[in-house]
Amino acid sequence: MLLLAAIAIPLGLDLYLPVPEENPLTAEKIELGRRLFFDRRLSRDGSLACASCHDPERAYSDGRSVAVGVSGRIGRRNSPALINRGYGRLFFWDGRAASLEEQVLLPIQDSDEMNLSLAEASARVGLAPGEISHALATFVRSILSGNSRFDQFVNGDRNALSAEEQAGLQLFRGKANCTACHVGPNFTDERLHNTGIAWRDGRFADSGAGHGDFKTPTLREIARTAPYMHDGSLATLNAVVEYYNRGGNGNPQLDPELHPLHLSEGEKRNLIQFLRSLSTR
Amino acid sequence: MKRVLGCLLLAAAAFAAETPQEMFEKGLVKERSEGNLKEAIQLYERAAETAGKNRALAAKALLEAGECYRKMGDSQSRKLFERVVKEYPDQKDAVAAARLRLEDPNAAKTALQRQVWTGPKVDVYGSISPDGRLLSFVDWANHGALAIHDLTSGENRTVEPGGEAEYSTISKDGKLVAYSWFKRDVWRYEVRLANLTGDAKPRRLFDNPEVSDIEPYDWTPDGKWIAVGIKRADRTAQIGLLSAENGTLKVLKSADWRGSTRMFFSPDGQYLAYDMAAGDGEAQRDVYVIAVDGSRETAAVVDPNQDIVMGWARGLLLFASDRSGSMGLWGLPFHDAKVQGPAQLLKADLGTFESSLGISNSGALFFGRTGVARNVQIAGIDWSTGRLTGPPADVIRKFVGSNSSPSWSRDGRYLGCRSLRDPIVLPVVNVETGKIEREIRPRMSFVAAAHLSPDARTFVVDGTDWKGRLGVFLLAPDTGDAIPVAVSDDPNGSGKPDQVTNSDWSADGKKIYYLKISGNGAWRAFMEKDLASGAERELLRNWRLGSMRVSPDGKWIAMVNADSADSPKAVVAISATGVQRIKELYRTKAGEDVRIDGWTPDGEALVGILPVSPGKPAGSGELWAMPADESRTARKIEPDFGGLQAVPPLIISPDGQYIAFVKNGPSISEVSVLENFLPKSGGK
Repeated sequence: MLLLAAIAIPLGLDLYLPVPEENPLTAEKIELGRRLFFDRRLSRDGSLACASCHDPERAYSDGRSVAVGVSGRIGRRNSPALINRGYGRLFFWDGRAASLEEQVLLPIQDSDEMNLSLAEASARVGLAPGEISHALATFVRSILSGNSRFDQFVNGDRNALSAEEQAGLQLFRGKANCTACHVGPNFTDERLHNTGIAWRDGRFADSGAGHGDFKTPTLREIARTAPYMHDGSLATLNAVVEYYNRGGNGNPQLDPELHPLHLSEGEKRNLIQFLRSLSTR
Repeated sequence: MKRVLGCLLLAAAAFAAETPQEMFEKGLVKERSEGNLKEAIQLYERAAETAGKNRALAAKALLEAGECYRKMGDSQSRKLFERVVKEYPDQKDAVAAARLRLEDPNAAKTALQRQVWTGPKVDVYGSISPDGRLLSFVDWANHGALAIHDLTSGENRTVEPGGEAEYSTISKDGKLVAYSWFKRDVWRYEVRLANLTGDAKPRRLFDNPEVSDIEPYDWTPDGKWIAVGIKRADRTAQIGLLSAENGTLKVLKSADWRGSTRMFFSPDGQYLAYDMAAGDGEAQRDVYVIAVDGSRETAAVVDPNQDIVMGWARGLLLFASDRSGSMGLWGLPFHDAKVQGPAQLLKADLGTFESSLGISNSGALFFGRTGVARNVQIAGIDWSTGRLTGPPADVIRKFVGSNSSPSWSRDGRYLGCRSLRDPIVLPVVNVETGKIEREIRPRMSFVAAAHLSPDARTFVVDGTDWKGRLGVFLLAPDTGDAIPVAVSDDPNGSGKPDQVTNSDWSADGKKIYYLKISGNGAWRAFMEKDLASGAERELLRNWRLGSMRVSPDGKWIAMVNADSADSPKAVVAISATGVQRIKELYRTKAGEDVRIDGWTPDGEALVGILPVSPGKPAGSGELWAMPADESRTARKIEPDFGGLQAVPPLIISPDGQYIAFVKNGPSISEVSVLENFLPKSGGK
């Protein structure tokens, strides 16, 4: 009941938003988490806040290929969009965190990111680490994206998508095989896959969760979250579709769902048009 | 000939050398499918005696034997339950079940389980009315009409004819029934409502092109909402609430590709209990309770056992579980979104069932199952005479009662089949020794047909993978992972996807053949896929293609072909190597149909010419051997199958010396009721 009072679930998302019993979702905690999210004191040199890499104007991503931490330290991976993570089951590109409460504290401590001990963070903001974790996780949990034109289409407005977008949706579910991984209201199976993107010169440039596998990201707001993939190596949706159209980078652990798609130029355009319909602005 | 007899004798010897597990499973079939308690006891007791270090099996077998004695009213049951407690203290679940029997004999006497409906009409897609008198069901003999069976009078009546109903649920006031209705023209389901008294007035409640399947399971007590399971157009599953007033859908939870078997509202209508697979492609299920306002969810029964939601009664969440060795009924105190205490065993053995049909106001639990017991047999045959060379014999002694879809390895030493169990298993048996060489557990939702690879290592299957894709899949031998060979697709967005099915191997195991059937029924294409290169090619396209069989030498593929609905059918042989060549072997005359059973060792396609005229019974046709080699002539075979009671087709071994076939046993379709099983006080 508290959940329903604190946030509204937009069209297209599940009414049930998982919330840990030990961290109930309240309006006050969302607000506290919001302030912490924008608080630069949580980085060692006071130059960065969570929002520095997760910009609300970019659907909580940052537009860079890979994240840039304190003192200009270059990270290894792209800052993922923090959209609908309350429905998530794995966190980080390699899925190493099992809950938002666990996840939100790790970038603060990472030497390539905010590089601050939890004790220092706690002292700076006057909150116990657990309180920081609960508040940040609650705020992230409240970041929801729905009611896109796609959602309106699915819920009965058959004119909400253009003919090209509808053709793209058909490809998305059929020939392009996107729904092998990008499924459900959040367009992710919350699982790890090797799409070959990390395979360079006969080895994995980043082994991800172990065998070049990375978590399926949401496609919500995708038009606002370029560049793409875990390493930000594909600058445009065009490049992403071209990559999958050729079946990814072949490697010993390539996910069997990947294979050449043989999409025509028109089909590629329609697919991209559909993907753009998943953004709310 | 000697090899034939030797093989069958070896097979018979293998029967005598059944493992304890096989004896136990055979006992289950004897007890539950055939009702033969005495033979079941013998099998259980032998299983217990020979179980050796497998103490879990020994305890389960003794428990089952005790149950059989109990059903017979024999006091020997008590001795066996005491043995379980005394000799197997490490087998906690079995001991708990035995103790219940020993300490609460009253429960054993008063809990009454009985069949309330058997026969060919039995179906378990429906639900029980609150007064326990009416059961909604699909009348398959009446083209899938929604119907009501009166358990008191035994009468059936149609609610809505002329369609394809599936899941249905009766409202808590007994006045309405909500049901899913398949719309063949757009290839999806809608939800309809009908009155159960007076004029049924069937009307549409919900239809959405983005929802391909929707299954109504239960009503809230106030009749305002219906719990539904949904399959979206992307094939993922959801749990939702459908307004009975205006058809508005509220999605409570999305669940990847995993659906629920049933859902039940709590008596106050505030919670919805459902079960769900524990993981991708897993058969093992757990039980959850979700608040209907979406505010919370409780993992009510999450453990390594099979747990199936059954309903609610007296403050208890009822679920079936195999935690005590066999499927028992358990009650979990549940109140205020929380489990209030440990689950208690209410009935030790429910037998085999598919799903709960609900609980009546009086607290009687209804549940049921459908199907027939079936097994795979082999028999030697001499195609020069068409006579059997020996008696038929069971070849697979495990999973008895559930085996079908036999297929041979290239050397004829191994036979694979499909065991329709939960989970589905694909055993590979050495025909000469009777030993099961391997079991592959496909990570799939359903397997419609399985074809053993020529090297006997794996299978290609027609079915539905755990992501809900219908198609042809190659199974990874070690993991059972389903690798798509070809999947159904809807390239035009018509809502009616092209289907792929009827797969088989080339003789060398390097290619897979399959049929592609257009969604609009306009054509069928015979396809070939090279496994190494992934290259596909279309070998033949026509209005009708089917009944495909590859010759043992791999040179020819026989199949049935037709130009249109009105034209005669032809049996054609397509050359499978080199330059493609099509040879017509036979063309039907008026009143005839054809089926291809296989090939003889001499390169003759075995063609059954079947009458379709009403005056001639099915199966009374002729069997012809039609050579692909033009220089030879067709010959009629006068088969003497000695009353095999085989379900066509016969699957001929590569050397032509054996036939494998499915033999149907007795029907196991039944609806049962369990009464007087609830404790005097429940959870709260």
